Amino acid sequence: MTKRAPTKPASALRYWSRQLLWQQRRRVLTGAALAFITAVCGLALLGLSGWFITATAIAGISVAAGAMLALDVYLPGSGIRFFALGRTVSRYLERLYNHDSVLRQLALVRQQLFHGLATLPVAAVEQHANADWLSRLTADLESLDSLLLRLLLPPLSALLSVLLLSAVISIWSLPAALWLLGVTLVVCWLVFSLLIRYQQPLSQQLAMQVNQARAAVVNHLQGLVELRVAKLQGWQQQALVQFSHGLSQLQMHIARQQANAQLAVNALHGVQMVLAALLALAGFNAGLFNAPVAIMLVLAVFAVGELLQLLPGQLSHFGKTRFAAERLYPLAQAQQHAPVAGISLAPPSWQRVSLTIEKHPRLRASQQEPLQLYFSSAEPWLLATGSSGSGKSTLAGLILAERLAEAQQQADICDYQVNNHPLTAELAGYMQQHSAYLTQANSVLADTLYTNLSLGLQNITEQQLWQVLSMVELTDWAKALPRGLDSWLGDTGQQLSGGQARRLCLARLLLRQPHLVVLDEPFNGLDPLMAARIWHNIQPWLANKFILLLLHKAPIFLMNNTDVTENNATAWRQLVL
Amino acid sequence: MVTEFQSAGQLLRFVSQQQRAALRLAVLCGVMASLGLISQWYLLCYLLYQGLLAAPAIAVSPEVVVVLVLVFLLRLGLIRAQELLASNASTAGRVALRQALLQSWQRQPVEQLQQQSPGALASQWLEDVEAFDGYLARYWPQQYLTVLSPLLIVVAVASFNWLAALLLIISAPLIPLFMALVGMGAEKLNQHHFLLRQRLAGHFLDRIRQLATLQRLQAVAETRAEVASRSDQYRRVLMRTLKVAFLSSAVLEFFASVAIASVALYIGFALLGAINWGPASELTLLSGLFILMLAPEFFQPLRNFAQYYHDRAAALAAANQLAPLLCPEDFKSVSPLANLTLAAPPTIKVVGQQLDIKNLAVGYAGKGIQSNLNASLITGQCLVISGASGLGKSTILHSIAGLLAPLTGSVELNQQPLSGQAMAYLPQQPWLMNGSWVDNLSLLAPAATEAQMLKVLSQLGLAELVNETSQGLYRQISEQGLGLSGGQLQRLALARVLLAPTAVVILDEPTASLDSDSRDRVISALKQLKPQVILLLVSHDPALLALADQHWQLSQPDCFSSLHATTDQANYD
Repeated sequence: MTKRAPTKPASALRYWSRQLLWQQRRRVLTGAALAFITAVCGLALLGLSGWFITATAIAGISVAAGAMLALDVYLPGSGIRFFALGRTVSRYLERLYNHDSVLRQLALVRQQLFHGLATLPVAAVEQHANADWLSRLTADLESLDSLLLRLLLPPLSALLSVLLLSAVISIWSLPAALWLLGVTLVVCWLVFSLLIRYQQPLSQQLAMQVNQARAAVVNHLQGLVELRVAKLQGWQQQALVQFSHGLSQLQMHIARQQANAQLAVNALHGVQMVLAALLALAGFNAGLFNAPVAIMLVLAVFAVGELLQLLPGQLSHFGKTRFAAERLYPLAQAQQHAPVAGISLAPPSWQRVSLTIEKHPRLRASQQEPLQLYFSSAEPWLLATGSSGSGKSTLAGLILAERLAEAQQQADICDYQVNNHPLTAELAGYMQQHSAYLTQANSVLADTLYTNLSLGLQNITEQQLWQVLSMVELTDWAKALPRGLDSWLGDTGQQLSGGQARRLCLARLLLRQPHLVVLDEPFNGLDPLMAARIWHNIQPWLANKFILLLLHKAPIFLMNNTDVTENNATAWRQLVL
Repeated sequence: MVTEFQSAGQLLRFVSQQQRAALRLAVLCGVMASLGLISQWYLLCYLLYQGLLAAPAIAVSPEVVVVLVLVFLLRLGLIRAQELLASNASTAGRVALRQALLQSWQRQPVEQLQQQSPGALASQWLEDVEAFDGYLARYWPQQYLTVLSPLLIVVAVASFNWLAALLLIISAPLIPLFMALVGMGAEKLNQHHFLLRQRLAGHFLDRIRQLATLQRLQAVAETRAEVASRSDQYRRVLMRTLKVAFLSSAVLEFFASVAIASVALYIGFALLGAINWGPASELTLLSGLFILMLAPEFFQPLRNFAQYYHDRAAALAAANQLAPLLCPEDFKSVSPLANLTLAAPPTIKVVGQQLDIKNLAVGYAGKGIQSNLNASLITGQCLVISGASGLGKSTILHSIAGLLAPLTGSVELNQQPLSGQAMAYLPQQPWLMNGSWVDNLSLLAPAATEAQMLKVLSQLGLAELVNETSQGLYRQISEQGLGLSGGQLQRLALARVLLAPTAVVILDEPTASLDSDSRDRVISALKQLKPQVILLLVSHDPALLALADQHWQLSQPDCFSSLHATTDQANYD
């Protein structure tokens, strides 16, 4: 990840804000309006209640004193009920609406990320497929929802409420209104900019330390056997304990800062209240307004506090959101254009494909002398055998032109030729479009059996699917599935055994007509008899194709196969890695 | 025998129990802050009452303002103290949890730990432990404050007007009741869509995980459209559940708003003289205003509690993962920091030591692999184990090394169980880390000096490589051993064994997959090492078989408990 072009952190956040907030500005505005209405209802409920009981108290005293005084209690009474209900309803609608917005944004982010990742070369994509990386990606995705829900809406509705309240106060006294507005804005700006400024390097440091700690733990666990036997495990764990202490120190530091911000905001609220009370008294004494209005304004200021007090907690997500934005930014950027898939040009006729490689660090057989392999119409089949770690999968990546760029840097010689011409990028694209690769690890998509087989293919008939299923002896299994071809496979559906998954992945390739086929341990998880039968079934498909077969150990049926003689003496050339 | 925590709840209780002193103090501060809150609002109302209503207007007494500010400051201090105490307790709790996890890693069988990827265990150690933060720092204190603070407020309200207090008391239990009802409805809806939701939620990650396959099958464009449509479908399904789930907080808001409104209306009509029964006539503007201001504060702890409730859910989920791994004893053991001195490697005795393997049977419960293994070796002797793959050679080494309990029999060094002793063990794929030569060597030979390291490395023919750059021993080696060949890596691992030799040294295929130069170096190093230690090797290498004083040739076990190992005492020298 770190090797991409460095981007300015601010631009990553700006990028996502533009993508997620600006593009949905009407939804964001509506959401903000709902949030604002909720806040106003809260202010009005308390303010009106204060006005009401003060007015009634004064009226009560006057009535007791014998005065005739008409006070309309019904309008304010229903006003109180209206705001009470209004606050609940608008709060409910606001949450619903804004969560819907966030989910829409999430959908956008997913599309962008997928688009960006899909344009990476296969070799780079494979590095990302590990569980750690994926779980970090999930966490980052989730952090982006703070952008609207925490970083935009709460400060915005607090700000608007303070503005509104100041406007109302300015009816009676402009200076008092300006004081309230000024003090609130200055203190909030100061507190929150300090909070963000000081918390940001700390959160960054924390993220770094967490990663270091993770690496240290993984390293420790990888050495478990040696450490345990050498009775050094406890000793080596001291480093991890140090990490644990370092992390907790940092976290306490961050928590203290947030508590300080909370303290400052609470103090601000207190100052506002006392000031409001004193100003209200002064205004009352100066005859600017009557007692009910004085109480109303004090209680409205009190209600603003509720909005402000939430802010430190919400804004403390800034750092995390920013890092998430930064990490996701390069992934969402589409890379330089890989060979465009989908344009099916007629493949060039391949007479001969050859690869020469010397001193590749992960190909043991290339250390002493150059490793040479070729496929030609006369000799299309090659079997490469070797123990684990001898570089079988590396060889597969090379012949499929997926890992050539990397190999050209690492190896002394890496020469790939098609029809005795060096491979061009364009040609590599065709090559990959017209090759099929059965990887060592099975890849079953969490989707229906139908989708798993017909992935990337158009105009496939069910009959064709059943035909390939019968070639890999999965017909009975598929027929027994609860919903046939529409049965769901994977974690939340039908679980497959290793052998079933292996055969499914093979069947998927049988629906295609590639020129080059790489089969990496096709018999993994299959018993020898079944392997031999399936091998026999797919002979017609294998004919006339360039085939690289990678095996730990060649099974007997492969070598003394009668099919070979039937097929006009195409035989397996052997290469030992 | 250690007993693990039976349930997530048990672990949560145990961890919070450990931090109870600080947590209880935090609750105390919270309660006192509530008292401060009550007095603060009383003073403010008194101030307003004094200034606005008392006829003729009394001048505002500065003492009231001063006391108000003091109470206010005191309350801020108390809140800060509560937060600090709670977050300290949470930090201490998490540190203790991490140490307990480390302890459990020392205690659990290696095989069991290796069933999970190191990455998954690391994320338990980091993220799962982190999930306890919200529970300890927020949820735990709040569960008491949710009861205590409203109680104090009700008492304060009741001292002025019991009817208003009753109004609050009645509304309080209704809130959790209705929230629970709505919650159950949401849960039911959730269950209904569960499978669909899970599939839609997992779609994106699944496709990213399989992206390489999709690229190879030319299915990227097709999947891109699918990501968009499934995300949208996910949103619609999720919103259906949220519509109901959000009702539960709406219920809370509703009752809070309605209670404030009813209190306000009741006070207003009482002050107007429209209500003649109950304690209405005793209300004044002072008490009325005070009660009105306390009404929202009454509901605030409940709101916080509802907010922190998902902290508990997160902690429970994490505790579910951790509980089966931990037992209370893990928390008791001394901090590993305390035994820093443990590092001193056992010095190797020159005098002859004796290793006796008697009647050893290895394998897993219900599936024996090899049995009736016997050997007796003294310092300077070597046992070589060979046989086809899958016959359990590595399992035998694991059992001898004490990583796997033997099914029967014993392995003793000088009549003491060998599993209690430190041993050097070199597996087929040696352990390497991102770091320098020094880092990698001192992982298993912490006491070795740099001079010793250089000496051993030159003995193994690695000196030129080390001296290639000016960084020397501090030159970085990456995890995959980039820049080093397999043979060089194997020699680096062997250097660790030579730097910290133990009475018994175990090597698993030390010369397999080595180039001839590396192989020669390793063999000559082992020849030099042999007189000082008892060597146990798994190997097919004839040069190593020549070192053997005893040799186990393993054969296919046709049925467990028969003799599978042919022990020949022949000396190959």
